[in-house]
Amino acid sequence: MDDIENQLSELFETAASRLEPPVEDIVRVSTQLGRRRRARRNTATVAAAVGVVGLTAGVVFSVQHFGFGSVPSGTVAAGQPTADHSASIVASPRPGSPGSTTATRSTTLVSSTTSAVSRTTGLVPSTPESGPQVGAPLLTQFVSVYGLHAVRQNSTSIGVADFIYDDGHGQSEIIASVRAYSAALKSWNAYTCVNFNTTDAGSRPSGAPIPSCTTVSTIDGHTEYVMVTGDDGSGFYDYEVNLFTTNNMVVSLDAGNGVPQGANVDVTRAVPPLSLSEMQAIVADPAWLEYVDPT
Amino acid sequence: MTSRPGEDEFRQFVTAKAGQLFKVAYFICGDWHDAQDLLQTSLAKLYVAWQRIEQIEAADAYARKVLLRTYLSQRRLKRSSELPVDVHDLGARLVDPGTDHELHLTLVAALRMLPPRNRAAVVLHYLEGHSLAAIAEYLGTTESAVKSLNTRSLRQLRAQLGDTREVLFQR
Repeated sequence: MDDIENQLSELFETAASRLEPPVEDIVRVSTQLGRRRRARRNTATVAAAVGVVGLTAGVVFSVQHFGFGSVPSGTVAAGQPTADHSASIVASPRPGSPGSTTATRSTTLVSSTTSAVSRTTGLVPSTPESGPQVGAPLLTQFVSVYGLHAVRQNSTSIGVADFIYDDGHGQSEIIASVRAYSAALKSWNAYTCVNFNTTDAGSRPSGAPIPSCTTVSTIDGHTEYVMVTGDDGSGFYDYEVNLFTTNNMVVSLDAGNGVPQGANVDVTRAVPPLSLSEMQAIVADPAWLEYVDPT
Repeated sequence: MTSRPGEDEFRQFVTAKAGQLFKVAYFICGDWHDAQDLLQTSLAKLYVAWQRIEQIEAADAYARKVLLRTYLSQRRLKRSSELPVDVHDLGARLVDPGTDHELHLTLVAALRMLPPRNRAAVVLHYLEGHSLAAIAEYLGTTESAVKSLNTRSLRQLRAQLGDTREVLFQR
């Protein structure tokens, strides 16, 4: 008779009894971090309130977060500064709410446009090692179309690009990654709606859409998972779009409503700076699949 | 330094609970420093919510919920090295009863081969003794889903630990 259940309990009990947790350090550091986090949250709340007043007064007219978005209407030449792009960007009604993925999408148009960006940049890596170096400017090109500029690159890159961007309404961490969908990832249904948690750990900012995960079949035959994640307990959440290609790769884009920095999170805004449909357009670009998963 | 309102109570709570919460964090992360980071981050979130929490039992449950939510955040998992090892890597990481007699290392090595969600369920059930229903509540899923996770995890652990289990119990 296999008694692994009883053995496991005993193994845990014995192993745990030998651990000596650094309780004093944990108390001290978590209190310090908590103070900082509360101060940041209070600051963000004030900033958000000021932002809402500004929007109400009509100071900002190109508002992504209240039903209007920026969609590129033509080919954007590589290497142009963001300001030049703005001339070719038109405001158009955004289908549905920020979390909506059911309305008509403009992915095809946007995808062909952004493909032109990558083709004209010639940003095609020849080796896996060159991925992050080449992927970073590619992501920056894509998001600059939507009025975002890079503030800094994260040192702990997990994909082809991991940046802090700003559109003037609050900084946001945006991460792009491309990887083979390995057996290990598949074993826990990573990047998909399976096991998606629809509850918040804490309270999300006012105006943020509720958590959701939608499965979308693209016209190219790929499968896409479009998510608004649950709040992590500090008001931070992500928009995520994970595109599964027919050749077993997954192109993933995460955009947060703030900037996680180690144990701290700056929640800077109610919603991420890119809409889900804009993110769908970005991951649809075939340029991402030029990258080879180094893992 | 002057304490903020409620801070003394928070510190008392953390002093009392950090040891056990750290053990949970350690076995799901598989790394001492990652566990400490995860727990401190989670407790910092608790600090912010502290004044909204009226009962110590609620604080205990909230701390675990935030710990698990923070651990299972896809963003964090993508960034960390906690993805389960792939099939082709297993040979290099199999528990070796002849050389690896450190009990907790053996257990951690076996746990690391489980997907993060399975690992969390196993730790909550066998370390902390939570019921499957309670784990379902923490993970935001159904009891039957947790039962399924548990069955798959046991099958995998049984295979990974193999004869090591007998060696461990002879120590």
